[in-house]
Amino acid sequence: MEHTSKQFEIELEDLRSGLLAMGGLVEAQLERALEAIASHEEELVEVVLREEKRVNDKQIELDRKGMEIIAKRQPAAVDLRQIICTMQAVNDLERIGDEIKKVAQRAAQFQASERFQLLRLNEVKHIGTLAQDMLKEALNSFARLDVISAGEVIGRDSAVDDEFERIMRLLVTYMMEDPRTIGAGLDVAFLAKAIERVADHAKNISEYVIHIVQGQDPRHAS
Amino acid sequence: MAFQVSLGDTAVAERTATKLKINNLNFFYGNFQGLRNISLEIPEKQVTAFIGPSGCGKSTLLRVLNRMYSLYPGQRAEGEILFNGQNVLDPKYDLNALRGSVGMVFQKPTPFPMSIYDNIAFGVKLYENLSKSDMDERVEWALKKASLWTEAKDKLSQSGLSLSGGQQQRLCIARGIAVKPEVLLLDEPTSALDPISTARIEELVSELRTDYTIVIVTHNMQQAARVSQHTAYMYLGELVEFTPTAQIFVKPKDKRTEDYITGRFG
Repeated sequence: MEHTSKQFEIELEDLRSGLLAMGGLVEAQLERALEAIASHEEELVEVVLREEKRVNDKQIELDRKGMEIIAKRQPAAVDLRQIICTMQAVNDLERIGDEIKKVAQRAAQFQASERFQLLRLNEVKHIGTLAQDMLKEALNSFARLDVISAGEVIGRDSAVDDEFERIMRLLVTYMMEDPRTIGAGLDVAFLAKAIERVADHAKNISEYVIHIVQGQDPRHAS
Repeated sequence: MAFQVSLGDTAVAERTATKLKINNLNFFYGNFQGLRNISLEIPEKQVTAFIGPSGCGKSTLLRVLNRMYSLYPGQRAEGEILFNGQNVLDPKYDLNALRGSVGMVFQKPTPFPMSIYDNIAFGVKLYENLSKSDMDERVEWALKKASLWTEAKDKLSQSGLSLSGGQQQRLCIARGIAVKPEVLLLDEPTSALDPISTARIEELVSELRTDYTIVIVTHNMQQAARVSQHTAYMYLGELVEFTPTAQIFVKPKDKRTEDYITGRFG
């Protein structure tokens, strides 16, 4: 059922679509950053660093809108949960933006030096794809308020964690075999960690979907 | 699934004894049924709020609690309201004693056209025979409880009508508690007041809770959220949901409650 106040309905929709637009920006950023790792295109890194500002601006805009709705409407129940959770999701998206920036910066370092050739950077490709899919699906489930797909995204996070563990073991092996790879190995480790954090934030966003729809906070439930 | 957890303990209001136990209450205005099969336990020394759209029966329910309706012919109640173990709907129940222990404050301030002092002393005289000094003490006590003392202490002999709207309402609350009732019924006590007076009345309600059981009818849902520990949502004479307040405004049990409190009504 719709609100008696159409204006309230419009404001809520505006906040929701704002979040999804921000999600779209972040998704594009992740795509570019992963592409930069694979393709060594310097330009992509520059675009990521430049576009990050847009993500930050969006966060400030949506936080302001959310606060305005709370001040004006004193929302309750599902509306309250939707607004609070949307603002939290905005926060997670901004953090994803930060992690992507780290990925891009590491990618730039690899591009600048020869030492990354010593390691197979391909190793982070898979974890990148996993995180990317999770983010996409988390935003989809938020858009549709789909609890089932949100639950699936939450379940996928452990696969990312496993993949991160695998990369770490691999890096340790490389670094033990050839100490010259230690510098590059640490760089790859940080890069993989940033991607793993992207997946964590995608998981958070999926948890908000469950909180909005069911009114139960699923965080830290495991 | 593993991510499903229940609401935290914070949503559960503290449990106390039941002050008023309403069993299968039906109420009729002539042929029209105003309340349908209401069962509800009003907890002692807590604030219980009744919310719902106009005509849902919340004021009717409040008026049944101290049998205000029996002033009007053609209105009758069926069922049971147990107050300290006795059914107040029983015609043999002493109405004067009931009104003495279940006080009421109305939507519009209704001071008697007499002095501030007498506004309070009037009701007390009906129930108790106090000496002048004891009565002075009682008037001061009631005005202090209603946080009106500092404003009114120098003009006790002035007419109650000379006070501002907010002060008049606090005078009515002072009058209500002067007879030391056990239950205080508030019917939209702040709907005619400005935000400052409203805040003072709400503050007062929170303070009075330590000594009295309070039932408040309000159109202002945020007010119910602010002052009450339990909230009942009523619709078309039925009780839809009775839940701890902290829970009802975050995660109501019933879809109809959710629609109402989020403004998706009608």
